[in-house]
Amino acid sequence: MSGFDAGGSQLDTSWFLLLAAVLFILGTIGVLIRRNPLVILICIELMLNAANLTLVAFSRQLQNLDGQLFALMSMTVAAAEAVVGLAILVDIFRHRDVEDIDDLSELKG
Amino acid sequence: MLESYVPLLIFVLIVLGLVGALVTLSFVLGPSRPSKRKMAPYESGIIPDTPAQRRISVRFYLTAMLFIIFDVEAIFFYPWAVLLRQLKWFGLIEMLVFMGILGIALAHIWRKGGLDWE
Amino acid sequence: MAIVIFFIAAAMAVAGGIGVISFRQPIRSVLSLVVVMIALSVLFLLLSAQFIFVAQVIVYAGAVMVLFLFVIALLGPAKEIAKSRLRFQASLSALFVLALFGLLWAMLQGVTYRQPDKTVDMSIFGTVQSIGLGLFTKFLYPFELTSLLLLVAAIGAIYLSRKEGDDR
Repeated sequence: MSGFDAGGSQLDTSWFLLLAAVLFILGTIGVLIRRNPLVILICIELMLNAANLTLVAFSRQLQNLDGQLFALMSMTVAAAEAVVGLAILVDIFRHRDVEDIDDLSELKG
Repeated sequence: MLESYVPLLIFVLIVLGLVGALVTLSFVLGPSRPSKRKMAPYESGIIPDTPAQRRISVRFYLTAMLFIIFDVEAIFFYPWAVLLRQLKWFGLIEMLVFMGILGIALAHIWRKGGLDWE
Repeated sequence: MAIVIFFIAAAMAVAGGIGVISFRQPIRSVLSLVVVMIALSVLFLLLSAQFIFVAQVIVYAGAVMVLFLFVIALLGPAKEIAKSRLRFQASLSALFVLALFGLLWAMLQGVTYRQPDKTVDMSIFGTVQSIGLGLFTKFLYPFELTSLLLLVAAIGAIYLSRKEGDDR
């Protein structure tokens, strides 16, 4: 048996993992093909959410709360990441307009 | 467990239904006869040639940023408040340490003028 | 019933995810991400993660998305140029993504899950009490470190958003 009972009907853990994989892939595509730095940050949030879904799904499958606590921690990290990431972005945008993430490659040496 | 969330589902459905009905009804019932004159930004003025959208002040953004940090802090208060009687002094001291560290953050923000609105 | 809810929420999440990466205006991407977050919160509820459901709605759909909306309002509606400077970026991305998805798909084939070590009372699984008990006893150290992380984020945010020539 690979599933569990939820409100009287069987759900399969694999469905949740497949959905998380699809969302993670969508986030990866966004990071790779979008040019706007803001949208890239949004896509990273999407990937973090997909990872959270796998954590909670395994927590339910193994009936172990550690996964949910880890998801809570990763939410905190995502919030901190959004705050600092957007602060850096706003700081850059105050000096000039950036239409393309490649405009920010001066630091590569 | 899921049964206890049925009222929430009903609430969400009512909200979506109400909002959807209001938007649809005003779209369907309201008279809409656009003409070139009516759609002009000013009825008898100079047509603006710069975008109407302006950038809003950076202050709003700073406030939202600080809101997130203390919103995440508040999330950790819910389980603590529920368990306060069970954890007794141990839980209180834990939370005081947690709040102390975030108090440093608040003090720093205050000193640097992050809470001032110019 | 739970299966129906799962498929509705999953469809919403995938549609929102496609919206995030395909809308040209950033504000539409952000609103699509809100749809994904709400759909995922419903899935968390199906997985008996009641507190995570609330935290997802408050922290993600509430606070983080508001910050993104404010930043977009601050920066103005910048449309992005579709042209990429790397010539092979699109095709290389497609190849990489296909390989990654194939890997994940292959991993899910014929997988057998470890069964729970001990049976847990599912009626209290994931409630605020059980989460709190784990957070304040077993995960005490990570919990206190969380406050340090938030402190660092606050200092960084204040430092980065200081005004020009303001050396206080």
